[in-house]
Amino acid sequence: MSRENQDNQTNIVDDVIRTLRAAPLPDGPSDEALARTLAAVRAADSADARSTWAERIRSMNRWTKMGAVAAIIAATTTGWFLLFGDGKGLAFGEVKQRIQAAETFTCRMTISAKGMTEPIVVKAMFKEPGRMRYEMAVGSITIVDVSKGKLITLNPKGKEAHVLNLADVPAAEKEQMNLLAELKALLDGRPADLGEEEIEGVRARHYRVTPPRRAKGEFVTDLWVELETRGIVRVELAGGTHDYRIKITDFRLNVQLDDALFSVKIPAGYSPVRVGRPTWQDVIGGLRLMAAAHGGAFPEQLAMNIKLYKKLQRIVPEAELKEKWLMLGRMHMYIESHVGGGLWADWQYVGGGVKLGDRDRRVMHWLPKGAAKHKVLYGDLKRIEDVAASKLPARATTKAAA
Amino acid sequence: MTDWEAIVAEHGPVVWRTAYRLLSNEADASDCMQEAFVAAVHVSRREAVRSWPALLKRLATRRALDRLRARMRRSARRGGPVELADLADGGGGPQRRNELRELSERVGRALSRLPARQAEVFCLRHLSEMSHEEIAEQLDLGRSNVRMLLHRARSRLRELLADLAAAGRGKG
Repeated sequence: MSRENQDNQTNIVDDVIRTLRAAPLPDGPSDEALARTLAAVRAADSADARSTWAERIRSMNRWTKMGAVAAIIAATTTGWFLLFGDGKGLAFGEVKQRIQAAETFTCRMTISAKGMTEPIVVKAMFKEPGRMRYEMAVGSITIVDVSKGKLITLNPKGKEAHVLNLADVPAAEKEQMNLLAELKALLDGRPADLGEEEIEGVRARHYRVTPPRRAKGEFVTDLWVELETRGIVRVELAGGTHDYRIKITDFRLNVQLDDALFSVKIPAGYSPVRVGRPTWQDVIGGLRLMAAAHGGAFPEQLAMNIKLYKKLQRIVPEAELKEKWLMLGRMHMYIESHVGGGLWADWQYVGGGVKLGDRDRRVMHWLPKGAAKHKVLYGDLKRIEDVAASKLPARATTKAAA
Repeated sequence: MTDWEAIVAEHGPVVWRTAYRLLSNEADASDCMQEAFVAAVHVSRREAVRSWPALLKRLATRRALDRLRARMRRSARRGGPVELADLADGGGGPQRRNELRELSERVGRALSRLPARQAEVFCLRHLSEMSHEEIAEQLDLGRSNVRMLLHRARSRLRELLADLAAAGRGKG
């Protein structure tokens, strides 16, 4: 662009500002508008203070949705033997406006679950528009660029780049877009002020948001806001499809983050691995493989961990191992995205000890969106029945990872 | 106890004008004013308000920008330009009013295409004439961030308005 053009365009902006500032304004506001405003203010002032909190925490923002996808994929495609939750329910509450408006922010996520030998630690970075980077302590890096519809997980040791089109996870993608539904869902929770506490070395107010119905996949969110700075000190989430506990700390807003950190291009020297679109066939195939790896009976948990990998090495030809592992990842993605996307409620895996082929014993059940009865999948992986909730078995197991 | 009657009376006109400059519609400006004051009630519950005008301008600007974006989305769905009836109703003679309407439309469309934070900073600085320090405090940003957002907003607006200028409609 020439200097002259640049100057002209600078003038355009300044001209606009000058003109708008100088534009005559009508008389206003009217007395009626002022009276209406005062009435609204008085009504708000006398409302229950807890509604204020509810309003503030309706900030469930798109980052959390996108984080959900990243978390799922990072866990299930990298071969790092990790599995963690969908992040649904990350309520940034008190600092909503600051976080929503921030161009960048970083935080540290520590994820644990029953049976998990040690927590997973993730450094998370976010940059507008819609870009995320998750650096896992074990070395893998997952980068999401929503505007490009791409997710890439880099495995530096194996020099592999797992690539996923977000459109291939339709439920999760839909969830990302359906912010309004998410806001409403969160408002349906019951925010409670649990008072002041000492946490992370500071005095903070503790809030808890409990979903109205503790269905599978819902999180209870605890949030601590520092009294002095009103900054968020810690967020803890408990629940999800595998009873996760996710602790989020070290929030930093508007830090300098280079665009290159969020590139979804496959780096030089890395081999691309296409993850593919998760389907119901992956769920069936994955369950069948899980059972096969455990001597013909479904395991107590659907964990993708080093023990499972070693079992698979014994029964799957080496040339097929990678694809089988990816299939298990897609199985989890399918389940997580359906639960996280609200298409399945009350999903439970209850197959521990059930023999593959047993058409009388139940492996898992879920309540499809809008349905009156649960779907139950049996051990032959073919029989699916509609069953009333009152006739469902007690929850057998929900362990996630070992 | 906050004397809301006094606050509404004292700052209502400034808040209304802040919204009107962006929306060019009296009814919308009045609605925005109401929303800004109600939001201020909630803010005042959790923090001490150091500057009512700064807070209220910020809240009104944000809500006006939200409405502007919604208006542009509706317009896009209709497939046509923003309805002039939606826009200016200010004084100054028919020709001047038309010019201002056109300018409002152009600027509104451009602002609605900026990232929310950039648009907010731009409006607070250039339409509400708040200082960098005031904006930084209101938005809980560093001053350097405010400058950066402002710079980006101006650059983007230059691009957006340059296109219009090239079509011969550059100046209001």
